[in-house]
Amino acid sequence: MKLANLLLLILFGPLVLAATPEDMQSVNLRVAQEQVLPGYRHFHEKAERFRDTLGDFCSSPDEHGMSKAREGFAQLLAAWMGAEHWQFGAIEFGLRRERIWFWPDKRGRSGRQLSAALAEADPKLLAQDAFAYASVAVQGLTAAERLLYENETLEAIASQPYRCLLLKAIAGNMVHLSGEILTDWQRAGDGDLAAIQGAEQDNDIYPEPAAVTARLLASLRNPLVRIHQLKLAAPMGESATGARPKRAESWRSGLGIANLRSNFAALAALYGEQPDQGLRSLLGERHAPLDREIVTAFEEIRKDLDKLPDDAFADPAQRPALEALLARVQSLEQTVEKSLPAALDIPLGFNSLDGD
Amino acid sequence: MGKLPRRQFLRGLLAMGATGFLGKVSARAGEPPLYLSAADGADGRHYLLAFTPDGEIVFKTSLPGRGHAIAMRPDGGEALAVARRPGEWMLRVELRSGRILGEVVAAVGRHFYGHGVFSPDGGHFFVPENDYPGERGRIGVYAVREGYRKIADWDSGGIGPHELIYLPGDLLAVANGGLLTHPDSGRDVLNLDTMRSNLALIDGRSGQILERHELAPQWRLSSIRHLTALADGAVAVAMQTQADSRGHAPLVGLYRPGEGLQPLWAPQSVQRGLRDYCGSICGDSSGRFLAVSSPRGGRVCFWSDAGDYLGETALADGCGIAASGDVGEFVLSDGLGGLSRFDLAGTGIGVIHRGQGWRWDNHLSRLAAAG
Repeated sequence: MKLANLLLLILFGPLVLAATPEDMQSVNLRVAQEQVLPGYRHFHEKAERFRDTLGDFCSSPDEHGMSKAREGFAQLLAAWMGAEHWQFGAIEFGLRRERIWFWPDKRGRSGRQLSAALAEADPKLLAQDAFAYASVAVQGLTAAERLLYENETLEAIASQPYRCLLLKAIAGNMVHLSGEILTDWQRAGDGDLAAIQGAEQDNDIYPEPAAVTARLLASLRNPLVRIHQLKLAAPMGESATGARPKRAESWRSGLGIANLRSNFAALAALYGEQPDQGLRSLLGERHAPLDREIVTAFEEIRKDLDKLPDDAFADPAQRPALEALLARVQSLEQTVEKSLPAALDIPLGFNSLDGD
Repeated sequence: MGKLPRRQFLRGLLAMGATGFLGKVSARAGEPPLYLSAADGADGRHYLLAFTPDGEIVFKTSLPGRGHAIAMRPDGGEALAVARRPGEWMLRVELRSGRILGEVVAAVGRHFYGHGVFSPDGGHFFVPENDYPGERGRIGVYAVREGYRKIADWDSGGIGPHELIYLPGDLLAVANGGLLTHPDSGRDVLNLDTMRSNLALIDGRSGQILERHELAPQWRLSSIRHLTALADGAVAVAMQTQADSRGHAPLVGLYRPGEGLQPLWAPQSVQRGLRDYCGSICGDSSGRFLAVSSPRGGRVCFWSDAGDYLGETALADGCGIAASGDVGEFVLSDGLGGLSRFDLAGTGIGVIHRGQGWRWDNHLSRLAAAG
C-alpha cells in the first residue's frame, strides 16, 4: 500500500469504511430478491406439491401414498423453516405466521381443537373462506403433522375420510397463504419489495434504507432467541433427567433436527455466505474479528447439526452434543444481539417487534 | 420531521387553554415530576426506571421479568409494575426511591396483561386477568391497604382485557381485545373465527357492566388494546388488527358518551404507514389532544378530541407516550433508547435524551409535580 493511501485510510478509515445508505439499499434489495422471494416461492411450490400428493393419497389411501404424503409434508415444513425467520413484510399481517405454524403448543391445544373438528366433521369448515378463520391450531402445518404422524395414521384415515379432507384443506390453505404472501411482496406500487426499493425516497413504510436493514438484523437475531429458548432449552430441560422430548418441535414427525438445519441454513445465508453477501458485507474491515467469530459459529453449528440424529432430544446419549450446540447458539445470540448492532450502526427494534 | 398542517387551527384550540382535568397523580410537595417506564437494559435484563423531565435517571429497579405499563397510586407513594402478558407477577415499588415493597402473584389459572389502575382514593387496585381455563376476561380487585388481598373478581365484559382506566363518576373503562390466548401457547390466537373486541364501561364500585361498545362487524378483527381518557367523559382507543388490512382497518377510535365508538382515520398514506398496529395512546393534560404511537410504522399521530387529524411525527420504534403537563405537549419514548418531547403548537419534536443503552418498553407514565 502506498504511503498516501495508508494515510488516507488512517485519517478517514472509519468514514470510508462505514456502510452508506447506498450500501444498505443494495444489501436490502439483494436479500429481498435472492433470499426472501425465492424462500416464499419455494414454500409455495412445496405447498402445491403437498396438495397434489394428498389428492392421490386421499383417493385411495395406502402405505405408498402415505409415505409420499409424509415426504411432501417434510419438504413443505423444511421450506417453511427456511423462511420462518423473516420479521417483516407480508408475514406480519393477518396472523399468517401463526396460521402456518402454530408452535409451541404445550397444552395440546392443537390436539383438542383437532379432535373437536374431527368429531364435528363439518364440511363447511373446509371451504377456504371459512377455513382461513378457523383456529390457528387447526388450519396450519402443526395440525397436518398430527394428522399424518399419529398412531395408526393409515387406519384412521381409511376409516374417517374427513381426516384427509382436513389435510387437503390445510394444504390448500398453505397454497393460498403462500400465494398471498408472494402477491403482497411483488405487487407494484404498494408491495413489500416496492417499499424496500422506495426506502431511499422516504416512503410510507420505510423512511430510509437503514430501517429495512434493521428488519434484516431482527430477522437474524429474533429467530436465534426462539431457537435457543423454545427449540433447544425447552425440550432439553435443566438436566438429563428433566429432559422433555415432547417439547421438541416436530417430535411426532421426527423432523425437529431437520427444522433446525433449515433454520440455520437460512440464517447463515442472511448473515452472508461470502464476505460480499448479506449483512456481513456491511461490516467494515475493522470488524473482521467479529465477522470471523460469527462465520465460525454458523459453521460449527452446522457441523453439530449434521451429526445429530433425528431423535436427539429423546436420546440421553446425545445430551452432551445438545448441550454443546445450545452453548454455541447462546453465544451466537449474544454476539448478534450485543456486538453486531453496534458494528453495523443499526439498532435492534424492540417495540416494533412486540405484540401488545 | 413533524408534519403539522393545521398549526393555526391548533393555536386556536390551545388558546382556549383547557387546564388539567382528571386522573392526575401528584408528587409530594417540593418534588419534581417523574416519568416511569419499564425498560430493557444493555445487559439484557428487565427494569423499572424513573427519570426526570430532563431524562436523568432517578432510580432503576430490577423486575422479575419483562414489564409493560407502570401504574401509580394517586397519592404518589407507590408504583406497580405489572408483568407483561402472560406474566403472573406485580411488583410494588416505592415511588421516590425505587425500593421494592413486595410482590403480588396471580391466582392459579390466571395471568396478567401488563396493565392495572388504582381507584382515585388509592384503596383498590384493578387488574385485567386472563382466566385461561375458563377462557374469560376478568378484572381482579385488590385491597391495597390489606396487602393487596384479592377482594373481588369481576367479568371484564369480553375476552382478552388489556388496558383499563378509571374515569370520573367511578367508571372503569376496559379494552377487551377479543383475542383468546393461552400462556402456554405463547401469544397465539385461538379464536379468529369468533373474535369480537369491545370497550366496556364498568361500575368501579359494584363491577356491574354498564355499557359495551363494538366497532361495526366488518372491523371485527380489529382488537382494542389501549385507551386514554379525554375531556367530557370521552375515551380514545388504540387498536391492532388481525386482518391483513394494509391501512383499511381502523386503528384508533373515539367514544363519546351517548354517541358510541367511532373510528378515527389518518390520511390514507399515513394510515397505511401505521402497519395495522398501534401500541400506545395518551391524552394531553387538557384532555383535548390525543397522541397514538405506531412502533411498526415508526411514527406518532395526533388528533383533537373533536376527531380532527392534526398530523404526525416520525419516531423509529417509538411507543411510550405521556402527557408532559403542558397543553398539547407529550413526552415520547422509543425502543432505541430515545426520549423526546413533542409540542403540538411548537416546533415539533425535540430530543430530551438519547442512548444510555435503555430500550424503553411500550408504555410511559408520569407522576405530576405537586401543586
